[in-house]
Amino acid sequence: MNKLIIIGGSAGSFRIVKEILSKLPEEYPLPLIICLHRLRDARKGFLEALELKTRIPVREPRDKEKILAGTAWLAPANYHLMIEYGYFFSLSVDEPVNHSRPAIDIVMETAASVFRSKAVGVLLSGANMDGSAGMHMIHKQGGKTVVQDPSTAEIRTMPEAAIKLFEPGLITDPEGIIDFILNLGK
Amino acid sequence: MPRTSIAHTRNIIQAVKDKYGYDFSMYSLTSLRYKLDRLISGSFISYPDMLVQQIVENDRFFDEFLYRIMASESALFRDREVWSMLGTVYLGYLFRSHARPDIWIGDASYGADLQSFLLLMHHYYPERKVNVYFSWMSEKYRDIILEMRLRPGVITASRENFAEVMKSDDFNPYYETHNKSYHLRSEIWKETQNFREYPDQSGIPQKFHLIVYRNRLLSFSSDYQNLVLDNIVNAMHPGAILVLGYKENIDEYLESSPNLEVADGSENIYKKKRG
Repeated sequence: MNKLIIIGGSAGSFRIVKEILSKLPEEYPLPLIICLHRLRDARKGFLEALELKTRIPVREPRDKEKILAGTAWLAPANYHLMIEYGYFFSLSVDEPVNHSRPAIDIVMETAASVFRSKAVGVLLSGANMDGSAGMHMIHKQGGKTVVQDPSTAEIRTMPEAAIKLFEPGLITDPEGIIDFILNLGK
Repeated sequence: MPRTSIAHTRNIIQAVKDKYGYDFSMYSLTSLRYKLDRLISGSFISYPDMLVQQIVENDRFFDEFLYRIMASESALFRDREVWSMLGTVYLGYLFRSHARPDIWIGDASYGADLQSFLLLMHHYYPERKVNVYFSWMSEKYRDIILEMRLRPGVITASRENFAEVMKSDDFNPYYETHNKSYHLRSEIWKETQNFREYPDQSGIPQKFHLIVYRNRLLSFSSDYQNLVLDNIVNAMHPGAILVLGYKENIDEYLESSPNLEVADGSENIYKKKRG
């Protein structure tokens, strides 16, 4: 597998993720994993809202499902999502991390462990510090990291926490993030 | 990524197997490493090698190890939809053919699934009797479940789910409070029985009409899931119901097993074939 993109976000990120997905062409070649903080007991509606105006399939993985390219994988509500050696997903109901399940740090850390320099982390607007440790891990493994410019974020806590922890490869606005993801797929 | 390395994890697995005979080598590696991280930090252990030493030299610490491997935080009625379906459809199905069905709650959530089931029974079928069992690997875990307490961190979520499934937000008929904590009233759970379980679910002591085994298979590799499922299905009466977590995936097992069929695909409910 070539590269794996992990997008993390919380409050204020949903609109940007929808925008990113709507811009991806049908033949986009990379897998995207989307880990957003969401209501634990709302199983329906979130994925359906993301699917609107999206040309690539959007799915929630089941346990031990293979990672397919050209698909946006949404971390399911109330489960941690992990990337395993062998390029498949695993889920867990372990205790919340950063008050979150799914936790962005868990997806990103395990993706960094398996994909190393081929993992790409994107961190968007959000109201807590989840994701910064995961982004740092991707950075340390040689993967690319992109953080939303806090001045463009609805809630700046999450991107600011990452920028405080390490120097991301790119800090940019939502348009810049979309261009970056499109270029990765070329 | 988890701080406990793969090499250290393998050393720990080997030490546990050599000393106690429990085989965790088929556990899902990443999840196990995160659990070991929490055990190490929660036990004020500096190095994974010290964990091996503790496990080998201290039987009580091994019980703590089993407890940490097993338990996870969860609210009452996690996945409300499946509980509503159990109450409105499947309990009725069981009572049509069994006067007093045997139920096994293979709980891994500090007793939240067990309490949810007992509440459901009390709400939907207060006049009917069932034999309810729960299982445990660690004695600490058993003792915590027997406190029948709602974990403080999940009370708000539990109350929301409770209101949805039980059509009331009043805990009082079901819980009493001691020192601001909620305990299930003893008349609801006093006849509950329990048994020790092993990682592969070998040696289950009897057969059941309903097994609730939600989100436990997630801990295992795919091959081991199939072995565990074989043992679970062997412990089901013909026509018995098995409830798994809604994101668990047993497609591979279903392809090879002649004994289990899907009862409800969206809620991951299965039925053992008759005959």
